[in-house]
Amino acid sequence: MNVKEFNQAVDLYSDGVYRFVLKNIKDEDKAKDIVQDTYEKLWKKHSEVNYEKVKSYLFSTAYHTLIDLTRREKKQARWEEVDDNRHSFSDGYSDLNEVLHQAVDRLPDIQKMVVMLRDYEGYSYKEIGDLTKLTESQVKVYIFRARKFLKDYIGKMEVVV
Amino acid sequence: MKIDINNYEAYILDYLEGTISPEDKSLLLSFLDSNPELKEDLDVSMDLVLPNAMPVNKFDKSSLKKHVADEYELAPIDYLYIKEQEEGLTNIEKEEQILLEPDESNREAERKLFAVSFLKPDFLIHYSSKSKIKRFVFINQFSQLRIQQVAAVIAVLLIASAIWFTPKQFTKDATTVIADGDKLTETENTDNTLLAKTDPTIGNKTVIIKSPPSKDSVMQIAKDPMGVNNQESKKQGSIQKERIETPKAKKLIALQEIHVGDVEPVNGYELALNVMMPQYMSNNILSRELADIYQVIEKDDAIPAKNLALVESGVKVLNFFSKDAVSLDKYYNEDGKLIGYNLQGNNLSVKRNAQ
Repeated sequence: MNVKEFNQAVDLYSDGVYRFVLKNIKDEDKAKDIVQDTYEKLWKKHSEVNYEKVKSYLFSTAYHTLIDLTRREKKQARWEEVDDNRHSFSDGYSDLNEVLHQAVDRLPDIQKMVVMLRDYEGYSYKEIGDLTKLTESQVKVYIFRARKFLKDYIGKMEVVV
Repeated sequence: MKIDINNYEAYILDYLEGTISPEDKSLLLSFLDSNPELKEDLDVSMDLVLPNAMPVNKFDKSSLKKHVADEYELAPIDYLYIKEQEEGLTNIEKEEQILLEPDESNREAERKLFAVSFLKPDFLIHYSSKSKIKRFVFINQFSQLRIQQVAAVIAVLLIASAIWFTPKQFTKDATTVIADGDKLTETENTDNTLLAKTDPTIGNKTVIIKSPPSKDSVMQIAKDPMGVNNQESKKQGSIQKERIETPKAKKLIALQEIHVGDVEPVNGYELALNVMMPQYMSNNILSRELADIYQVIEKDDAIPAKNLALVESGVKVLNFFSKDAVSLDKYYNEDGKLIGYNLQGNNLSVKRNAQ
């Protein structure tokens, strides 16, 4: 991949990577840092990365950075005895989309990420498996379980609302 | 294959199991007829017929089988709804779905709920710092890395040249004037010799500023401001060989000699320091030493007006540094002549008669 292709990758995929990261960590500054860091890593290996696989490389790098980050934050959170009220429905919701995103936030991290890769970027199970280093079967299981959880969450909310 | 004494048993086994071919069977029977002793040695009769297997109750294999939904830990109907949205259903799966949920309205409601659970990308979110991470193309032959290396080398060269061509500067900023009474110090200007910015002069001579004075030297100045004793000691053999005899410093100005409007160079800075340095350093020297200094000042009655001029200069200098921490009160008689003054500082109080 040459410089021109690298810059094309910035134009084409930085928005998607940023959306993916931002939806996961809800912190604009951190998300921007991760995107920048992701492209820095790409730049260091740009001569080795095939342009046709650059999107996968970017999302894979961002995904693993996110995993590392969430693990570190969870380690810190253990000391703070956080009660995440995982299945609590006491919050007020304005519309279905908001409910959906509340539900997504309650998914386990790995399920959240694979669902986002699937829905936001339209990746196949195999592609997601390549990105996340999971088997295709594992990816499918995570996605199906996530769908079930989201559907149940929304269904209960509709009754409550 | 020919049947002989070495392999006939294998054919007999096939015969007993019923898997022998008709051709082999006729060959085997003819072989046994020609070798009746072998036929007698057999433990089993060639006419042996195994009894039919006992009939068993039909086993429900389906109870052992797993539904594909079990892999997802989902109910089969949920699995089918999700698969319908994700990948679509085969005809068999559609029939199974109908079988599991016959009510079409229920199926439709569930489909809607599952459909809602699919996320939609928020295209309003954009990464705003694309320009920061883009790379520029300078010259095709040069890679970005090469350009960075060249830039680093240039930066190092610039820094080196800046250091090389920068004129040497004196780094010592301790400004001290050594004025041994009326003796001036004059040495060659070396790196270790600093000239004050103002180049203080007395007469035509430049006062050379050397390294900061020690406490002892300050004490010496206070005890012997005119340098009489110092001169004698130098005659006995001074360590500082570079010192040379110079004309006496101009006589310090007495009050009576001050004429308003006349401009005459006075080294007030030097004079003030000579007298006021003891107070300035009072926090750093012993009280006994300080008392000796004051005693010297008190005994110096020869030229009181001169002392007053010294004190006034010192007060100005001290107040300049200490924000008016020192006060000087003058006392006059009925004729308007100065008869005394009172110097008041934080650690100093001096009262003196001027006459």
